[in-house]
Amino acid sequence: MNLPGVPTLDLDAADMLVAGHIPSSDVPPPYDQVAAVLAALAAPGAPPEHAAAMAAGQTLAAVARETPSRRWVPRRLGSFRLSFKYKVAVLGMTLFLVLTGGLAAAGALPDGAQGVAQNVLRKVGIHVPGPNPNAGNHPFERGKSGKPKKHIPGQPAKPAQNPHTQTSPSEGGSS
Amino acid sequence: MESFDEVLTAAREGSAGAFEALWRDLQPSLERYLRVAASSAAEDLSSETWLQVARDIRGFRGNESDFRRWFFTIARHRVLDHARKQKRARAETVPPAAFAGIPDRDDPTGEFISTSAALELIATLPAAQAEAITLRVVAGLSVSDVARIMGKRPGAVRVLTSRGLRTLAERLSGAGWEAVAPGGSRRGT
Repeated sequence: MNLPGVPTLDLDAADMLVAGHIPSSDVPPPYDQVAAVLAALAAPGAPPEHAAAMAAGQTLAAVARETPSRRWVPRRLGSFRLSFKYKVAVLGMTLFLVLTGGLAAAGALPDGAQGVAQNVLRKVGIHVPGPNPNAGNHPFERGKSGKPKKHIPGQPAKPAQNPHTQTSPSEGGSS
Repeated sequence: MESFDEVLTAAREGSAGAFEALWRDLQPSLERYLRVAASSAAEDLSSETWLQVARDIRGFRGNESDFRRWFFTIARHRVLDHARKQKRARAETVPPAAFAGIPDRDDPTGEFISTSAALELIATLPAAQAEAITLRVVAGLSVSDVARIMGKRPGAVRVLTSRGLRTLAERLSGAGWEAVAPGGSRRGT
């Protein structure tokens, strides 16, 4: 509701009024009473009683002395409650390790990861298969170890590593 | 007269005199702020604020201006905690008693209203407007400091202040005081 008789103060004027930069006697109605209210708000009050100030000072000093510096106290020290974030992180890590371990045991990890898993787990006494020796070195060759290699004319044919797919000597080496 | 840095260093070391000096300096402003922000629990929240300050003062780093901002930030957190516990709406109507101390503009004997009446009047404003005005006027903080305490942009604090002053002017002019909706938003605006 906008009252017709109450103009809106611009932000700068409001700042000056609040900061007490305009004497209330110089402020036009209806803001003159507002200025009086602000002056009453900012007016210095009666000083606190000496006894009350002393008592407050002693109490607060005692609290400050008894409180150890927070810089040296880890947060949540002594508390075993974990926040939701930590619970999710721990659960995620556990799932990851279980899945990776299962895949490593089945020899189903990619060659590099399988080799790493084999080396790491061997140190803790767990034996898992190593990388597939029949897999090719190039990613395009992986999974094609069972297929016969293409012969390139002019180059001696390499013997296949997989004994099941090894070619006979009569088939290779001739041009 | 000791400098503020000396007082602060002594307070960190647990000096009763230093805390007494800080208390004398800040307690009047704190009382007024809490009367506006949480009138029913002002005394308890004042104690809680000071205890928190005493516990955390060793970790504070900064100058006097920073200390005031830190101090009133703690006070505001106590107010917010209190409000969460209470979960009560602000008064639905402006108590007429809040206007009892306002002098008639035409009354030649009318002078400044009392601080107590002024605090009651400010407390009838929507919460954010009342807080912005109180922190600026009573705590003597800058717009940027108030903005940081309230978690708002400086421009928003200036707008809140301007609106608060206008609301106050409307109410003081007689026709403007009206029901205040729960939560602090004023009817019709």
